[in-house]
Amino acid sequence: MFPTDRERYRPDQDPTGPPASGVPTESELAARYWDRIRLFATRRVNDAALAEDIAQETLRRVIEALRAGRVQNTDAIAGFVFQTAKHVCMHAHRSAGREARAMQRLHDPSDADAAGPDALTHLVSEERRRRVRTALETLSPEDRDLLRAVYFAQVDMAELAAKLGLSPGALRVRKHRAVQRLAAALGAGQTDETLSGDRELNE
Amino acid sequence: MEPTRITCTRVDEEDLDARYLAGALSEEEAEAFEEHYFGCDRCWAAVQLGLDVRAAAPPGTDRPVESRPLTVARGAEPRPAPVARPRWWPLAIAAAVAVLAVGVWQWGDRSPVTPAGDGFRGPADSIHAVASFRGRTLVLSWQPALSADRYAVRLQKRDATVVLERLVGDTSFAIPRDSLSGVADRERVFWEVRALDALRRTIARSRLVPTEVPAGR
Repeated sequence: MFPTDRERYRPDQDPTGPPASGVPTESELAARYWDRIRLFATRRVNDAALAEDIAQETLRRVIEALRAGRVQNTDAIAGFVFQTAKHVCMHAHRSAGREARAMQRLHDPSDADAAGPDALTHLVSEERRRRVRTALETLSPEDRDLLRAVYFAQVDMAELAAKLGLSPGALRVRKHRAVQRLAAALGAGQTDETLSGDRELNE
Repeated sequence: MEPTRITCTRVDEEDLDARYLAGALSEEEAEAFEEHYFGCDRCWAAVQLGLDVRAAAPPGTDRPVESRPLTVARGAEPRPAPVARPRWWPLAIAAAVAVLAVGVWQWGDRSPVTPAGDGFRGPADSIHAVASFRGRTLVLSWQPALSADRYAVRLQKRDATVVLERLVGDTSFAIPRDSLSGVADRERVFWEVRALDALRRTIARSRLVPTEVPAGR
C-alpha cells in the first residue's frame, strides 16, 4: 500500500474546487487526508461512525478556509488539517460524551462499563482484510510471524529481538523488509480502488 | 522519547508506528506522531500497513491480554456517578410547565418551518440500479447522480457480510464470478451503490438489488 489506493487517485480538476494553482482541490484533500483523520479521530472517540463524521467536518472547514484565503501557506496545509481535526475532535468528543452519559442514564447503569468492539477494525473493510490475509499467506512464515508479532500481538520490539537472539537493529531491518514484501504482495493483487471503511455516515 | 520533534528516522528507530497502533505511546508522543504522519506519506503508509495487519487477524483470534487498545485512555475523564433515580412527579410538573411555555411562545411565531435538508443523507432508492450478467460476470449498472464524484459499490450477503466494496468513477461495475470468494454458487446476494461527493459523503443511494451468484464453469 505504497502509496494507498486513495492517494493514487488524482482527478484532473475538480470543477467545484478553487482554480488557483498550488491549492489542492476537494478531491485531492479527501484522497490525502480522509483516512488519516479517521484514524486520528477513532483513537480519540473510539467510534468509527463518529470518526467519519469528524473527517467530513474537518475537510469541510479546511476547504472553507482555503476558499476564503485564510490559509496563506499552502505548503503547511498538513499542519492546518491536523489542527482543524484536533479542534473538531475535541468538540465531537464532548458531545459524544454527553450523549453517552445520557444513554447510560437511560439504560441499566450496570451496562455502563461494558467495553465496545475495537473501532479500528472498522477502518479496514472486510474485503481489504481478506486481501491482506491472502497477501500474508504469500510471505515466508518468518516474515508473517514477525509482522503478526509486531502489529497484531503487539510484542515489544526489544523483547522480540531478545527472544530471537537478534540485535534491535537487525530486527528492525527484518521488519522493514517484511513490510516491503507485504506491500509488494498487496500491490500485485490490487486492481481497483477500495474503500477502507465499510460504514457510511448520515444513513 | 523526546515528544516534540518526530522525524522518519526516529519513527524507524523507535518503532513509533507499531507502538502507536499498540497504544504504547504516551498521549503526548502519540499526538506528536499523528502530527508527523499527517504530513509524511512514508510514515502514514507504514501506519496503514500496520492497521491492515492488525485488522486481518483471522476471525476469532483473540488479541493478547496485555495489548492495549489504541484509543485514548478515558481514565482522565470523570466517569459519571451512578444516578440516583429521582421521583418522577417533580420532573413531570417541570415538563408540563416547559411544554406550556413553549406552546405560548410558538403561538406568536408562525414563521414557516423549514425541514432539515437531507441532501447528504442520500435517500434510499434515489439511484436506479440494475443487476445483470455477462456470462459468468456479475454486472451492476445505474443512472448517474447529479454532482457525484465517485460511486461506492458494495456486494453483500443476506446477513450483511460485505463480499466486495469498490470505489469507481463509472456508472457500471462488473466482476467475474471467479474473483468472488466466500460466496456459494446460486447464493442470493445484494448490490448497493452510493453516489459520493468529493468529501466522500453519500448524496444518493440505491435500494438493495438482489442477484444470484452464477453457478458452473
